[in-house]
Amino acid sequence: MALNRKIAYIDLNRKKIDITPIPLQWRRRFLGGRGIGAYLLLKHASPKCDALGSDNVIVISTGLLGGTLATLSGCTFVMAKSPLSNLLCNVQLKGLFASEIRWAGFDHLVITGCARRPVYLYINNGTVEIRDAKKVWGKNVSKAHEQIRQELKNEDIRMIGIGPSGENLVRFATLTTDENAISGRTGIGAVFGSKNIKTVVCRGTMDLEIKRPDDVLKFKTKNAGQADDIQKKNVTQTDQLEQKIAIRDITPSKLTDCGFNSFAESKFLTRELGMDPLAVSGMLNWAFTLFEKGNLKANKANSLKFNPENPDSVGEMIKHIAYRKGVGNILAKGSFRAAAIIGYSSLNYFAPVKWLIKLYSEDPLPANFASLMPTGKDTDIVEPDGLEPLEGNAGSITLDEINEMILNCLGIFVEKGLVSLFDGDPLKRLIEQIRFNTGLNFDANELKKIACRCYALERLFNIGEEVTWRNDFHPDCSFDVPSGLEMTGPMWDSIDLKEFKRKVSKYYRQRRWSKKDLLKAGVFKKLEIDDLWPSLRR
Amino acid sequence: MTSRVLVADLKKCTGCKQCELACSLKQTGVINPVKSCIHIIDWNHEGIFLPVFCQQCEDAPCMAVCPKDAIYRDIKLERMVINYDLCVACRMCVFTCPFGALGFDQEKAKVLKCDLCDGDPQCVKFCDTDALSYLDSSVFQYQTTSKTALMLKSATDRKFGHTSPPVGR
Repeated sequence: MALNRKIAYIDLNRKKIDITPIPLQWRRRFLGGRGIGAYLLLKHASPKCDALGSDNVIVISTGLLGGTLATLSGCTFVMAKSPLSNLLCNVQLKGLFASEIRWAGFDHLVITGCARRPVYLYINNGTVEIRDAKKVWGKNVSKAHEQIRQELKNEDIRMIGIGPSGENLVRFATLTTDENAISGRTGIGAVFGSKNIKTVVCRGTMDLEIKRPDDVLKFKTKNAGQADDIQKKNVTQTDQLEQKIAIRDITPSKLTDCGFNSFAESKFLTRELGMDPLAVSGMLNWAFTLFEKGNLKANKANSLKFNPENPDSVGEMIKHIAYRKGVGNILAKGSFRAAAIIGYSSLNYFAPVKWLIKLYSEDPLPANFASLMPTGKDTDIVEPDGLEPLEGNAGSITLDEINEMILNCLGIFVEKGLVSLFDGDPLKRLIEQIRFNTGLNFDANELKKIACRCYALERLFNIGEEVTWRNDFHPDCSFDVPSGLEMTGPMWDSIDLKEFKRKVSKYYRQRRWSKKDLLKAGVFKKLEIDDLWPSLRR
Repeated sequence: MTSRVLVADLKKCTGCKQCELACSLKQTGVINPVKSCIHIIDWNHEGIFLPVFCQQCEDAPCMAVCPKDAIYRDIKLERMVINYDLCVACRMCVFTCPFGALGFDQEKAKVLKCDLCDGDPQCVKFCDTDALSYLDSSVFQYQTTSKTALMLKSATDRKFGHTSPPVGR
């Protein structure tokens, strides 16, 4: 059955692998995917651990509907403590890895400890192997993937892995799938690198049993033109948005002068080195501006003459970041850590501060943060008719947030801020899909409670890192202060600080989120996560 | 009733593999792409995806090679069908198929072969990008023909100075 998938606890310190089934009770409490992922992370990560140390834990999860016929259900969630922000980072990876890992018999992989030598994990039909990755360590992403494919003599394997930037602990290194999808600019690649894991390789040929196959096949016919149109719309809109960002992140910059070819090449290079093109282009813009202004000087070790008009120097700079040479070593620490060295005033020239908060899809800020923005719609709490108010000190959340969390728990890909594209009431259809695929019966109110619980879990992790609502504010330069860069357009409009503060405090009031409330035993009981209470009490 | 054929448009296939899942679910009741009768061969980095499935050959090698005469032609749906009462699961048909389109379920010792889902192919239903279609066998090539004709027409127009933009028929 779709419920018989297991959890593999991989201890790299002792090279020990424990495989345990997932209790049905967990399914009823967190469904799967992002929910169980957050729960496992909270359970196993020691509080206030070093994000790049061996205490950090990586949880790779697939959703309850992963590998089934539910559209867009191929989404892998990778969670860990972010080395960039020191908060929870949740990475959504598109691609066929999620389905493959389910066919290999697993729903969750919990990776603890730290390997002494470079390794890769090979997951195949209910077994996990830790293999030597000496030959592929240091190689570019696609080359490493190709080499592993040849080594295993299997064309059908699916992989997620890091490039040289992850190995060198660049704090915005990403994960890349073998289909070239990348995600994780909050630095998940560096966490993999710190544990000496190059890739996670997966191949599965196990049956995924479906409770009611005929109904699942009919479901498509009946709802054709409804559910799937919406999901298609979601995909296309996401792609368009990504394209827009890709163009936007380069258009107003210095890099435009290099011409299109070098832009494409530099983007390709960035991906090959395992970094996020968006984060890197932001960093490069910043660095070039600082070079011009004289805040940043090429030191002796780095005699390169940075000239944005020379495409070679762009490529060189990208390599310098990935291999942490010279100025690249400072930039690889991330903007805030770099600013601590260069001087905080330099952040005024950091363009991504302004627009990343509008379009950041994986940051650990409050959910649906995009809706707090002037351009986003107002977050009015939706209390559906005939349903009792949601209990628990996680408070009530909007229907959009509920839908997003439930879709994520089921393993369905959602771009943040675009859930509203799901017209009508997706919960009803999801309940049917869960019933047909797994045989589990949920009602709408139960799903809403699960969503609240999962949000509270993520919040709890961040509270463990001593986060208060003040941390959700951005540096002053993201507000009315002129950014020092001459840019216009909706992306660059200044945000009114007062309005923003008002919205954030309203956001917290509605959710009844505060550090005190969430850390009371009663709340844990209400949220039915009392087994976490001893580990989090402090 | 005119016969219909399963046609794949390579340009539209995105390699999502929903067809594989739907096929295996319909054929075996479980989701397992290995047990599917349609397979997507992918070259991810080049963005090329090639659906491979049974072509329901007119002079079928699988039928010719079957030692028990278990494979026969269903004229109504223009398909090759396996009579599982006669089949001894010797896998000769699997080895002989020039497309490698036949599969074998080791657990049930059963040859897996596309039966066009008795005239309602699930792979077509689940193909979100319409890369797979089930078309009338007498006209399916006209799509390509008319596309080529249109290209030829616009080329001629350019050559002889007609400025009207090419319009579909």
